[in-house]
Amino acid sequence: MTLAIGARVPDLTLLRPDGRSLALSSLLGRPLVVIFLRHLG
Amino acid sequence: MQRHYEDFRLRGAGALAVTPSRPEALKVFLAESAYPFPVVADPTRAAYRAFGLGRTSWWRLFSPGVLWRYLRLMWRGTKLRRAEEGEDLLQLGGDFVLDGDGRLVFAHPSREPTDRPGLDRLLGAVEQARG
Repeated sequence: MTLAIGARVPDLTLLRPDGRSLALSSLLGRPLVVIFLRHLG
Repeated sequence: MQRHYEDFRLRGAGALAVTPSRPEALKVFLAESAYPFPVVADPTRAAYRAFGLGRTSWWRLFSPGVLWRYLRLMWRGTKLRRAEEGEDLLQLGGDFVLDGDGRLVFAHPSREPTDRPGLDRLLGAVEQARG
């Protein structure tokens, strides 16, 4: 699946280092640069 | 990315890094490497799939062009670390910019492991996201 430019991104749940959840939507309200790493480092 | 975070922040943008690693491994990593923005784990890679990020092939991973770019990164001081057990070496990354409402403004899914957009393109997308 590929997101189209202009489409709203689904509200994804990610995990903080301590295991707690973080909703992507909680970081919105301003532009957000999202970098997907291939691996740690 | 850490070096460029200030450029994003000064333009009113936040940043988030996502890794396919386990939270436990991420915690150990962050204890050694401070990041000025949140770094989160996506061990099921659900977010990777949602953003359309696929996997490369072994052939591409070890292609001369990719090896050459890794050598250049190492020459510039980038330290490569050994993959964590269970990490998928073929997973591809990518860079995206969302506006404040969560709409996709910029998408750069990597075509091969070292394929990343330049800072200028990301900053341009941030400006566009600000409206």
